[in-house]
Amino acid sequence: MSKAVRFGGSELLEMRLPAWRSRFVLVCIFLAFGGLIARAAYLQIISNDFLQEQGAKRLERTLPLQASRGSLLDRNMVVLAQSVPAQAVWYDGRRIVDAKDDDLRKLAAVLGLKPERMIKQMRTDSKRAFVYLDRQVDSDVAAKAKALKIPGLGFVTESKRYYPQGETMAHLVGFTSIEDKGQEGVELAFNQRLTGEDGERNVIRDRLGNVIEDIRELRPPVNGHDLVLSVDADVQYIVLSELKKAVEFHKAKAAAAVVLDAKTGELLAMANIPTYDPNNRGQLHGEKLRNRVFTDMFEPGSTLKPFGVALAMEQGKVKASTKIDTGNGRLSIGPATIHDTKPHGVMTVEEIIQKSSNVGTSKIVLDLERKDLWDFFNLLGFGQTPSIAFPGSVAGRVRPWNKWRPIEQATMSYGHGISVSLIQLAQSYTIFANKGRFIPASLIKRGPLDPLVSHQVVGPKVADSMLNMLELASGPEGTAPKAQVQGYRVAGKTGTAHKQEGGKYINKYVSSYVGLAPVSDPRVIVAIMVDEPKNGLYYGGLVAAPIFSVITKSVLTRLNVQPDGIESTEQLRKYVSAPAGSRL
Amino acid sequence: MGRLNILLLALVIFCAMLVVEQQHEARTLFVALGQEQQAEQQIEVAFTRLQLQQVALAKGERVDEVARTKLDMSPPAPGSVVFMPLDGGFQRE
Repeated sequence: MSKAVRFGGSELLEMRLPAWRSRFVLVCIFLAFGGLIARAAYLQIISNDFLQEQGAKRLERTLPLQASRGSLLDRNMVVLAQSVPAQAVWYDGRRIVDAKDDDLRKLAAVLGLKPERMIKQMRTDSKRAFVYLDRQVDSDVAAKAKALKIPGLGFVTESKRYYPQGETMAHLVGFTSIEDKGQEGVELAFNQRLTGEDGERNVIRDRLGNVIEDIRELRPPVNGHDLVLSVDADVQYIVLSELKKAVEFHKAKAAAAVVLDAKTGELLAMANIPTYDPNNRGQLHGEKLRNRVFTDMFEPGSTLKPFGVALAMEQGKVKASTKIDTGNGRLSIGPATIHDTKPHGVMTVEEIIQKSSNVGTSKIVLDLERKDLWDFFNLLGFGQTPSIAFPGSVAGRVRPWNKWRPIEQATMSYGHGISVSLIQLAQSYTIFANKGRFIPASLIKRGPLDPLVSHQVVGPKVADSMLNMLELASGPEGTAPKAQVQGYRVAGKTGTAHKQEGGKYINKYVSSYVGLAPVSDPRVIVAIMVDEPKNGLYYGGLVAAPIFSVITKSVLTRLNVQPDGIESTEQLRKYVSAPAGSRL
Repeated sequence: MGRLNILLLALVIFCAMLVVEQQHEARTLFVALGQEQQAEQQIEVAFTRLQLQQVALAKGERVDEVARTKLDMSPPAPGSVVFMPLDGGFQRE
């Protein structure tokens, strides 16, 4: 224990260093801390807003919430048009050049594009930042394309409109543009109601791209309203297919048909031949798009005869039984002569309608005041833009009454020198179905409580009496026995009008028929127009009336209308009492 | 005094950890919710597609064609149609 152990010892410790050195170090450390605190304060307080904004920029995203366009439905809620989300595929030309040709070939196969053309196009676009490759791609196809992970390929959600009824509904429903805006038909007429309003959502995303938080309340998308139309898809199909057959048979240039609900004016069907498929975008141009029901005017011919005569009856100038001499079927007014197809001699007003005598109706109508007739035409909607909101609806042409010459007044009585659209013609016949009340045609399905707009045009007696005459006209002695429908009583009027070309009447015809059924309680008004039948037949009674007959029969059956014209009750009794085995 | 401080410090640290944990949990759930919502949307789209398909399969054009070609049906001839009375007696109107 003698030897002392030295555990530590440093020469430095034994040095007497000056005190300022340690203080200097201390001050330095404090200054460094001060610097840190100042920096923290700067970041937290002064540039806080800027930094938060930058942070948000890196993580926050505004996501669009797509509103969908409203669907179109028929009166039985069958879908006529519906939007489905789809993807637009685009590429950044500057980055896509890095993609492998193999991958691009696969992409072309997925999208159904021609690979060589696609790749060539991409090469030429090598400086453009945004080029659409394909629009309205189905979501599952887009998912396959996404899985290829091609650099510079992007996807945007959009929507695609489907028309499951295809060409059956084409002219009524119309179609939308690739940007989902209405272009034709109901899609255009009600574009505003159908269009929705997109919403948006502000979110934070993590580094994997997952949405992890909503940072503001989202603005929800407002979808467009669905629209329930008055049309009946089944009736529409019947009308279109029968019309198609007729056009083929008569080798006609075109044809159109309208079916209205006689009690409400609701449009149950509206067909045009030629037609088109709105799903096929490549087809959407040219003559096929023409809607002859609303946007074309034609000289209606004899289908207009009941109106002048009805006005004469309303004013008490004639009765159904009044006798009028049509002589030898010729009537000269000034330099012009009006012809009948054959001389009929003395006829009652009833027979004049039944046989469709031009001379007879002219004589009756020439007795009327010009202004009265003009007012009457206006009340019936002729020369007026239809209240039905269909794009491109024409007003027709009725010249001002103070410029009419007598010959014009006469020809107008049988539908020449006046132009109307098929929808105008169809809706004017509502007066015979509703005891003299005019009900304008409409496109939207009526609710049970919706008020019915209508106005009285002629008295109920005149309307009923005219309905009887129209039934005779489609009877065995009339101009259109072929309009008859088994089991139902029908009434209607034929029309055969020469077409005008360059101001002259030529030997091309518009053959028409407007009728209503069943007569005991009219449910439908059917108007048919065939443009330029070229199969040798051109009289309305031979061309349009048979089409009316087949369409009306199917439509009444489809609408479950009880037959009012069964010829033989006995036949039915016999049938009902027959043994079960012999039935059918 | 010192002990209380240490206890409080431990509590603070524990709470801070809980906050982090809860935030993480919330985000995970939010992501899951988002995925479910997306799935819902996809199902809705699929439903719309099926609806469209149904309409396309049931439309008059197709029914007509199938009835004529596959089922060999045709509309009855005028002579073979008989109207049945609703209730016993035959109704004329």
